[in-house]
Amino acid sequence: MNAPSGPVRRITGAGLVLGGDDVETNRILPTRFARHPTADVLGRCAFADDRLRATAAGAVHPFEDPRHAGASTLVTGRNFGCGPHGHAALALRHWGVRAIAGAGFGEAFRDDCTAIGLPCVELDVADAAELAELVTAEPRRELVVDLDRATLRAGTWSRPAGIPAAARSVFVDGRWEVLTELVADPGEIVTVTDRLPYLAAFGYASRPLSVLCAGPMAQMRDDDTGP
Amino acid sequence: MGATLYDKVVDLHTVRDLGAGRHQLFAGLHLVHEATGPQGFAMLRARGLGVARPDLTVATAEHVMPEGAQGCLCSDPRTAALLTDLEREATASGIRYHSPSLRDSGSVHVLAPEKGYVQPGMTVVCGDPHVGAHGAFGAVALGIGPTQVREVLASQTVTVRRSAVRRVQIDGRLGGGVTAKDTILYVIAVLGVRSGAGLAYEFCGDVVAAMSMEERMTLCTMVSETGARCGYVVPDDTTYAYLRGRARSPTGPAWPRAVAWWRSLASDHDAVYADRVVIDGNRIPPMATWGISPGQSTAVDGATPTTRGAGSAERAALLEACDHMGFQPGQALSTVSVDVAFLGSCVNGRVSDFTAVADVLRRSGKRVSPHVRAIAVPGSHAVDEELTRLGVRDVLERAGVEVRRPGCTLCVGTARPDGTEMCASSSGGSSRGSQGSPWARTLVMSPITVAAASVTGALADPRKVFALHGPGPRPEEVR
Repeated sequence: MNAPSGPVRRITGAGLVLGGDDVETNRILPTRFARHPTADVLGRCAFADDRLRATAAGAVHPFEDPRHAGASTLVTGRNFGCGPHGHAALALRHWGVRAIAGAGFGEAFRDDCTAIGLPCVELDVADAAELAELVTAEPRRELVVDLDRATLRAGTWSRPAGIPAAARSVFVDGRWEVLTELVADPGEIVTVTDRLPYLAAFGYASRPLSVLCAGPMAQMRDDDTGP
Repeated sequence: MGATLYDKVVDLHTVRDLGAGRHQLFAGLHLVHEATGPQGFAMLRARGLGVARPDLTVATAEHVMPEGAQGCLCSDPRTAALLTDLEREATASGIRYHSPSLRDSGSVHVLAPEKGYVQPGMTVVCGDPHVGAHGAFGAVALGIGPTQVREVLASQTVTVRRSAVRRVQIDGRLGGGVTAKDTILYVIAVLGVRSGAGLAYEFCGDVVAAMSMEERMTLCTMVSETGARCGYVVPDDTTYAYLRGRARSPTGPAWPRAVAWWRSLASDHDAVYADRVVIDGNRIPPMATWGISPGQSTAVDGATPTTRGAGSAERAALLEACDHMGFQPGQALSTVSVDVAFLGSCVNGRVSDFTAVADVLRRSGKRVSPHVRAIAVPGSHAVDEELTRLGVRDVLERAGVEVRRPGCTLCVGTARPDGTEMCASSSGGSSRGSQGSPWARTLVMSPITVAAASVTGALADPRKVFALHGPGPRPEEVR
C-alpha cells in the first residue's frame, strides 16, 4: 500500500462491485488472517473465503476478476462493514481500494477507514444499485469520488455522495491522520487525568502491577471497608 | 436536563473538540492482544513514538493460541512471531503482560474483569469489538482498529464521534433454561443489526437487574453485533459486590468514596435518550442463529423463515444464508444435525457458563452423542483453574466434552470445524468464515443450548432435553 497522506479530495479510477447487504468485516477479512504480524499482506487476504467459494462454484470473485484489476472505488450495498473486526479496513486499503461508495456502513468500520484515509461515501439505496449496474456493465468506466462537491460521477451519471460536512472536511483538510493532533498537547491530557476519580483519588494506577497481578486470580483482601 | 451514564463518562474523559464532530477521548484502560497489538507497536515505532501510559495498558495473548490441549505455542511461525513481538514490545514499554507461558493469559475480555482492571466510569478501548463486555460494569467500552491502537499507545487517547443513547429496557423475568445469551440474541433479532448505528445502548430493566456480572458481560459483549458503538449497564450492588477485593479496586476509605462516585454515574431520571425500547423478557425463548448474520435467529425449536411476504432484499439474504447453511426456507431447526459443539469464547467462556453446562449434564446423566465432537475452551487460565477446582472439568470430561487450552480458538480459527461441518457454538459470530473454515456452518446459541445439541446430536430446546422447569412461558417464535 502506498500510504496516503495529506488531503484526500478526489479519488479517480475504475470501480468494482461487491453486492449484497450487511457484508460483515469477518467476510472482508476472515478472522484467521488477523494473525499476520504486519498489515501489508492483508490485501492478499481480502475476501479470501468468498474468493474460494466463488472459485468452487466456477465463478470469479470481483477481487480476482482481471477486469477489475487496479480498481480504486468499491461499490457496496447497505450496512457494509458491519460486525466485529478492525483489520477489514486495512485489508481493503492494502488491496488497493481508495474509496468506498455504498448505502450505509458499519460505524466502527467507517471510523477504521477514516483513520487510514479511506473515505466511505453514502449513496441512496437506489443510486447504489444503479451504480453497481453501471460498473458491472462497464468495468473500466472511470468513477470520480469528489469529496469537495460531495458527488460521485461516472461520465454523465452523477449523484450526491453523502458524507457529513464535518467528516468531509477531515479528508479535504488532510486531518484524517489524527496522531499528530492527539499528541500535540500532553498538558490537556494531564488536565483530564487529574479530574478522573479513579486515577486521582482511588489509587487505580498507583500500585505496581507486578504486585497487583501476582496470582492467576485477583487476590481477595479482607481488610476493605465495605460499601 | 439530565444526563445518561454515557454522557457523564464521555464528558469526564473528553480532552478536546477536534472539530468535524470528532472528540479526543482519554482511555482509562487500553487492552492489547497479539492480533492487533504488534501491528500497533510497529506503526508506533515507525513514527518514532513510545507508549504514553504503560500503567493504563494491559496486554495478553489470546487470539492465536494454538488448537488442541497439548498444542505447542510456537508450532506456527506466524503465531510465534506475534507472541514474541507482543511480549517484547510490552516488556520494553513497561506494560503488564499476562503471559501464556506462565499460565496467566486469556481472552482479554475474560481476563480484564477477573483481574479487576475494569471499573465503573472508565473508558476502555481495545483493538477488538467484543470489548463491549466491559460495558457490563458501567464503563464506556469502545472497539478500535489497528491504526487506532497505535494512536492510543502514543497518546492514551482516541478519536470518537459522540453517540446518542438508546434505552433498552428488558422487563419481566427470564424463564428456566433462558440465559443472557438468549436475551442478546433476542434483542438483536428484534432491533436488527443496523438500527444501532450511531447509538450507545443502555441496558436496563428487571431482567438486567437480576443478572450476575458474568451474565451482564455476555449481554454487553455482543453489543457490536447490534450495530451500536457500545453498550452498558448502570452499576449497582451486584457490580460493587463483584469488584470488592479485586486487585485494582479501591481499598480502605477509598472504597466507600468510589462506590458513592459509581452510584452518581447512574443516568438521571430526566436524561435524554435517542429513543426507548421495551422488550418483554418473559417472551424470550432459548435462541439460535440459523443464518450468516447474528440477526438471523429464532427460537431454537422454531424454523427458518419462509420467503412469503419477504421483500426482495430480505428474500435474497434469506436465500443466501440458506444456501451457505444447507437449509430450506421454513425448515424446522430440530431437523438440523450438528457435528461440533463449542463451549467457550469471550461471550460465554466464563466460569458460570461451564458450570451451567456441567450442572445440566450431571443432573441429567446425559453424555455427548457419539456423532458430535464437543469442545470446551475456558476463557482464561484462571477460569481453567477454577473449573478444575470446582470439579466442573471432571463433569464435562466424563460426559464426553474435550476441555482444551484456554484462549479464543474456534472464534478466530485457530481450531476449526472441518469441511462443511455444522457447529453449535456459544461464540458471538455466525458469519461465513467466522470459525476459520470458509465452508463450515456456525449456529450461535447459549452454552446450555449447545449442551442440548451435543447430547441429542441435533438442535434441541434445552428445557425439554434437560427438563428445565422454571418461571416463564413455553417457547414462542421470535418471528
